[in-house]
Amino acid sequence: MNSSYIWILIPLAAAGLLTIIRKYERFTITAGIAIGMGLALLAWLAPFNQIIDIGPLQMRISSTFSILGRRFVLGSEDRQLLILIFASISLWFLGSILTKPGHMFVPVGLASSAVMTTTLAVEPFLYAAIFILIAALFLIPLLAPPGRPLGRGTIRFLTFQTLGMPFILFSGWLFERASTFSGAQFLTLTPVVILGFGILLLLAVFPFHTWIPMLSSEAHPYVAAFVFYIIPSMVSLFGIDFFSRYPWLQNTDSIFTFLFAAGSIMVLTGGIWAAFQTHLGRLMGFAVLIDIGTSLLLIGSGSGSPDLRNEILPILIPLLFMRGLALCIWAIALSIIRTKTGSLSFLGVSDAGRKIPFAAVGAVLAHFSLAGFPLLAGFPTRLALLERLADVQPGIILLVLIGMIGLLAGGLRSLVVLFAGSIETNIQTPETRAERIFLAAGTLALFAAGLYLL
Amino acid sequence: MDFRPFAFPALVLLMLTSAALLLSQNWRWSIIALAAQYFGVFVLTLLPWSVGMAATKLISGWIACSVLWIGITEAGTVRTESWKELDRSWPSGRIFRMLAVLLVMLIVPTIAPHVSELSPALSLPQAWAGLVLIGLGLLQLGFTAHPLRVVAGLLTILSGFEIIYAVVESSLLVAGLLSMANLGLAITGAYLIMVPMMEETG
Repeated sequence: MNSSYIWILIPLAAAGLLTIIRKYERFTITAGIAIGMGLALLAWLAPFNQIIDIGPLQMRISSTFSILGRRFVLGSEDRQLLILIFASISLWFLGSILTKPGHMFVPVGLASSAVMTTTLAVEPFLYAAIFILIAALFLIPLLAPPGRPLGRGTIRFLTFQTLGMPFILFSGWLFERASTFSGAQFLTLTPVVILGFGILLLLAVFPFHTWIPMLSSEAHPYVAAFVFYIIPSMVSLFGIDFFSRYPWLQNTDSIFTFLFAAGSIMVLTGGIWAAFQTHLGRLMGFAVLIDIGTSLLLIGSGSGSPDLRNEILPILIPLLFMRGLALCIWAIALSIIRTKTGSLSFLGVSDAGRKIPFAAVGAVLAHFSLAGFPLLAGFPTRLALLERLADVQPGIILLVLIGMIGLLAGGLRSLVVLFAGSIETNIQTPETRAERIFLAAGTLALFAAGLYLL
Repeated sequence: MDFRPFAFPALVLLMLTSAALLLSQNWRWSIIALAAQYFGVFVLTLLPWSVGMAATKLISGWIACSVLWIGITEAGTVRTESWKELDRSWPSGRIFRMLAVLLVMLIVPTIAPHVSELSPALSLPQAWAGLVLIGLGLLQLGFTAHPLRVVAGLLTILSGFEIIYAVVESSLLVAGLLSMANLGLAITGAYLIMVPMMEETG
């Protein structure tokens, strides 16, 4: 048995099968959760490249799969990432029971997780850029469901993700060429600029960020949040791989200057915009922009490190998982609010907190968590980032804090709007029991994760 | 067989087809231009690649064109009318686009020699053709948000990139993956054209 069969082909095949029977929504969601959890569990327990006795049978999970002269490698060093991918995908499937994001959600989610795993496994790893594009193409049916008018955000998302791929592939070739000349002294600015453009396009860095706020107001909140989670996570993990494959890149100042500049611009501008938003969906979009900015800063903080991958991954993995958790709860809450009020604009959701309190509290706490509010899930990773930045680039800390304060201000504004109705309004709970349980468990998980990681 | 003598005619073909794609107001002619464009790409990728490998570009490109054709036909006349959205400002819009095409065609010869210096295997016609396609594809994206035009623009840009990238990367897996990306893009384009008319599934 090969690791690529298990973590790439099985979810891909399951996605194909579940597409055929997608009308049986309960079954597809249950199957999706079971497959995701099973694969996460297997990633946790499986010994790679060792013989396992299963009764009379003997099995060995080999880490390398070769095809057409290229290799797909998934070994024990990818264990944590595999757990992250498949555990978080199960969480998203679980949330889809409440939010009804469409029949295609589970098949597309499974296919995306398979493609995400492929980006980790493929060698040469630069080919991952093509898989990121393929993942983006898989996500389009979720963003543009049948019978609905096509939004501009979807077109822009497709455009930017497609344009990013050639830049990454081409910069990879230029870096490869530079590395054959034994390193950075031969490296000119051209590949850095080309790589920079690729990252700007794929990670929705300013000025290519417009699809995020557009999608967050056009698409189903749960689908938008899922896309905001899956694509930037994929690109961040790819980015870590990029730097760890070319050790001499870690001493190339121009790249880290770019990462710091892009990251701090995203955090700062995202925070300022968030403070003035009047739409709960768009607020989520700007929170995502800030979070992407923080992951860029985190990667940048590995500047000069001899082992960037092992130094950054222990912070990046919790950051991505907490992002997934907070976004999932936020999106569930927004989906419920949108269903009950018909809108996510401040005008439409005014006083919704008294009418749908569980959803309103869930949305606000998830927002605060992404803003790095103490005791919540986002806080420990923000703290770790700030500590790293204090060592490497203390000047940026102020910009990050301004961005986080901006996002917190946006959260406080939504808190006021959601709960600022007449005090005589009776508090009701029109959410279903499942919604109440999920939201309560989710908000508790935000606190628990925050305290555990601290 | 030495395919180098065909490089210049292929470049001319690509210049004509990519300009036609941008200027055409008839979606049928546009898709025919896109199909012809893939023939030009095939000829230029023949220089670094074997016929078999280069044929993947031609075949996947033509399948992509067929998928787009089917998509727009299925979508019906309502949507095909919106393909002509750029005609609202006729004739000034068309003159503007012609001038923009001319501008790209004038800029490319100044950049192409620098690009061809990146690799000794990259000939001037290849660099020129790649840049023309990338430039005109970007122009296409800047002019419209119609899904068919956007996808045609993206396919044009990818074709331009693939001409240049074929010189530096001759892996069969990459050729296959890029073909898959092209096909995926065409299927997505066809889906986006049809999606507002499709039955709501909940």
